[in-house]
Amino acid sequence: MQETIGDTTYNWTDVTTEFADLCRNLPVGEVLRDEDFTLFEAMTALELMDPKMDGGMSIKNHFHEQKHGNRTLTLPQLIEKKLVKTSSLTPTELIHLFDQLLSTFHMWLDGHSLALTLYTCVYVHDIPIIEDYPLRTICYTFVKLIDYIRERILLKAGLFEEEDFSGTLTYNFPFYRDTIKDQTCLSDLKKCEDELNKRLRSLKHESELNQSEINATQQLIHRIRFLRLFFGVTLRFNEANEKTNEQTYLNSEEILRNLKQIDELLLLIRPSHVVDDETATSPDNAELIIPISSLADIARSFDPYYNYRQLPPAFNRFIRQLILPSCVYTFLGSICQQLRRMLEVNDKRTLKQAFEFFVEYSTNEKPSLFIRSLLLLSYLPSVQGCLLSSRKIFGQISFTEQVKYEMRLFIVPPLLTLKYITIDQETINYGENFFQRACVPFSNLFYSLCNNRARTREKLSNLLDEFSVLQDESEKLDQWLHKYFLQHILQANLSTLNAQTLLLIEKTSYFFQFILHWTLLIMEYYLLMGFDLSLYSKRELYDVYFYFAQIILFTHINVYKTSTNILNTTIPMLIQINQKHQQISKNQTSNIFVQQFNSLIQQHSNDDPLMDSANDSNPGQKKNKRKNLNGLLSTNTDHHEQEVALIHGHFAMSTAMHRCLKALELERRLRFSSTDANYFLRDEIRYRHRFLPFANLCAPPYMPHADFLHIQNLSDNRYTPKELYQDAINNFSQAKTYFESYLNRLTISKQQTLNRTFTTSFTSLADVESYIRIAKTNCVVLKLLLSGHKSDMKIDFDFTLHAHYPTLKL
Amino acid sequence: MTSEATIPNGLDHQVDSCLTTNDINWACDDQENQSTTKLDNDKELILKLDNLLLDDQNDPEIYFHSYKSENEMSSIMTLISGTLSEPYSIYTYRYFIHNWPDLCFLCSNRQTNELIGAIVSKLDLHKKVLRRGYIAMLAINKEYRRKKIASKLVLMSIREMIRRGCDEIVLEAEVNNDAALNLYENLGFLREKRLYRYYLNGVDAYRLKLWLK
Repeated sequence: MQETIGDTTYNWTDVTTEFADLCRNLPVGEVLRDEDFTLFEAMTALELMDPKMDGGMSIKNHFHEQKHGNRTLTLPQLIEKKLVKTSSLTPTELIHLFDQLLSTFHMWLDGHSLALTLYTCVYVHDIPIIEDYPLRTICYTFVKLIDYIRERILLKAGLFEEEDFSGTLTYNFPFYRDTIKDQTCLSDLKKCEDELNKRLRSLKHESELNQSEINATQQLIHRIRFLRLFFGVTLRFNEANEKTNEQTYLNSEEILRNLKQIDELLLLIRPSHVVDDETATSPDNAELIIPISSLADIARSFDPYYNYRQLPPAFNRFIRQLILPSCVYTFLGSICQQLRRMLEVNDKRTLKQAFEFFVEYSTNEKPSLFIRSLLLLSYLPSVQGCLLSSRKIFGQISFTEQVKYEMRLFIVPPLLTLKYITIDQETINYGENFFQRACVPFSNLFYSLCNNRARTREKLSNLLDEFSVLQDESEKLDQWLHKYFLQHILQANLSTLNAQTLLLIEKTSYFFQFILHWTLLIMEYYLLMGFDLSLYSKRELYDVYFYFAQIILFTHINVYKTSTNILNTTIPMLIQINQKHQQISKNQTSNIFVQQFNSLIQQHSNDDPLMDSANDSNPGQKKNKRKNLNGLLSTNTDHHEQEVALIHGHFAMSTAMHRCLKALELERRLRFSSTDANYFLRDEIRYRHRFLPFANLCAPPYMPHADFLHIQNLSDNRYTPKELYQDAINNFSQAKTYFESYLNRLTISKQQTLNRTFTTSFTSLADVESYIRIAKTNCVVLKLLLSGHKSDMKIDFDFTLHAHYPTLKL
Repeated sequence: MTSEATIPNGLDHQVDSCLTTNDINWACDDQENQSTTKLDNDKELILKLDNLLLDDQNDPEIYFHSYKSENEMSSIMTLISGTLSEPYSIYTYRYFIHNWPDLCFLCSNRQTNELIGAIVSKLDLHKKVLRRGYIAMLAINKEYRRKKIASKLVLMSIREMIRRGCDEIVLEAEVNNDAALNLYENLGFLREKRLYRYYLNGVDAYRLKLWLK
């Protein structure tokens, strides 16, 4: 029998009876298969006529239509059969089509495939044959918009995984790359807009005003203008100079201006709403009501099943209804808001600030893949053939420069602060090598933060491996420099040398401390993300909080102490040395490393720990009233002030947690125990696996479980429950104090903090506020427990206030 | 150690040779010390499991058995496809059950022989080094819920996997499936990872893992 589908005609032969007869010869359970086709391959098979798997069965009507010989018609066929119109479309029809296309765009951004979104529109399959100019232009623009986002943004950022995006499949859909360019779309849209404005003017001058036509035309103009602006904004991201392929700078002012215009337009646009009832009206006229009868000529413009047969079998085959226009426009409004927020990354000029921004942005905004990709590409624009670590920050600053500058800010290594020393070639090579290698994990850090949160945590654990190698490298560099610099400084001048300071410089492993600092940041964030994603079971809490406090945070507090001490002690001496040699060297910086990031120093001269001493007539004067990088007044001794306050806060909270968990265990107030009869996970095994990402680090050094138990013993097991409760209460109060003083210091300089959630390291203002409440509540509960209240009642843990620390519940 | 004869919990399959096969399989692995420790730990676990399964007073109405033939396939499919949201073709069932029939445990009504519960799992080499057990499907008929049938089936599956030398056992469960999460977490499974949008309906899942080594 013959059958025609689309353009092909098939000749079928029915073999059902023969097949069934032969099958009868197989015993029960026997499978006949090709050698290479195992049961594993067979899993991708579909059962014909199963509605969950067979595309053609999904909807009664569709199957019905197939039976009656109505195949999926191509656009030319539809035009021929006069089933769809392609010329002289009314404004209402165009509005409807526009809103539908916008809806497919939204769904595509959400992760649905092209086959089930944009390309369910029949027009898009053959745009050149569309006669209507506005329709043709709109269709081209949507195709180009999606193509640009796909190619230049999503694929270039490379952040997606299976679950976010199915964008690599293009099904041989036309993208009209040779037919029409992006800029042409923009100018065509402008032309449409102008023509429609002309039409609108003439409509308004008619003797009998056709109000609905006027409204429709006006709404159409708004939409076309919106599309032009939106496409224009999108094209500015990761824009590459066509001739040189070099990254052009992100013009955020221009983008912000356009976003403002888009916002204004969105207020004017009334989303369409198709109704059956001719007399329906929209409450407060917010929507543009379109009776379905006026869309009769374009009823077949969208077919959700158009590409169904092309979809791969093991695929998300749910056909979803297109989202309502009112929702789509709300969504677009929030996209604009997110974009505006995201552009704030442009004033993050240190790695620390950028890190905090990325963390804050991904936690608060919960951005989609599109926005995350834009964030990464705004910070590290892609360049053809260039690795992530070789990219320039904002397309301007070399990553190595930024890393070196960051090191200087954190711990003022002499290598990066003494301006007038000459460094031998071997040391330069050694140093440069290290800095280059450091770029890889640091750039990967930002990449990791742009993934969806579940994947971010995974990637952070991989990152720790990279940092462990970097820890090794930094140690080697420090050892090399210890030998070199001491000689050099001694040679330089003896009189300004303070023996104590010299000793300090001698003992300090500058670069190791810096790498350790970032390693700890990542470890802390990794651990806390485990709470955010609700991964830890209640039985693990004791170990997690103990490890967090006594191993990670404890080490970090010491790192901050070291850094603060170095900054306070050695800076005056470094400044003196620089001043002393300035004259002799005729102000020519001979230290090649300092030369390299000189522009960064100049840009941030206020914040530089060494403060350009050349301009300092009275160095003593400025010392005490500097504003630090966050615009807050700080004194010379207030380095890392905020970070230290927060880390002490976390330390106190976690210590309190593990103390009271131990007390609760001793008083048998916990609902569970890992010694339950049917609990098959051994503590030692759990410990090893959960903390596996930390196993390869030099510091903090990995502790075998036996040792871990030992220090837990020393720390908690020697005390009675009452003593433990009391200590927990003290710690929760201390935490509260640290956090409150942190908040107070911030609110002193309100100007900087208005309209922003403020994140230090990975802790935001909102976090701190919640922590304070949790500490207060827990103090109260613990006081009750201390007094022996309801001694037979079990305690539960409630993470609803904040995922990181639970409130205790009686 | 235990005789093959009357076992009060109605386990029809052989409990007998498990310990002897253990001895044979692992004596050659690694150093003498390591393999004996592994042996002890697993022996210990299996003993624990045996005791748990034996301890429970069984409902006389039901009995447990393992997969025997293709004849049971249709009822397994009906039960599972009726309770789980993901669509599986018959080949998916066959892949697991034909390759690992000993890891498919069933529970039926003694009188009507109606299939009440089923667990489908496998044990494979993961990335060439890790012996990983995977629980693919677990379903209990609505009318027989809250009778600990699911826990028993899981325990049976875990026991068989440990017998065969398993380093870890994994499965995925929807983030909102509290019943499944409680069941497994009380046995020692931890949430190893969160899987964003894992299911066709866009819902997240947890990868649950029981580490044995």
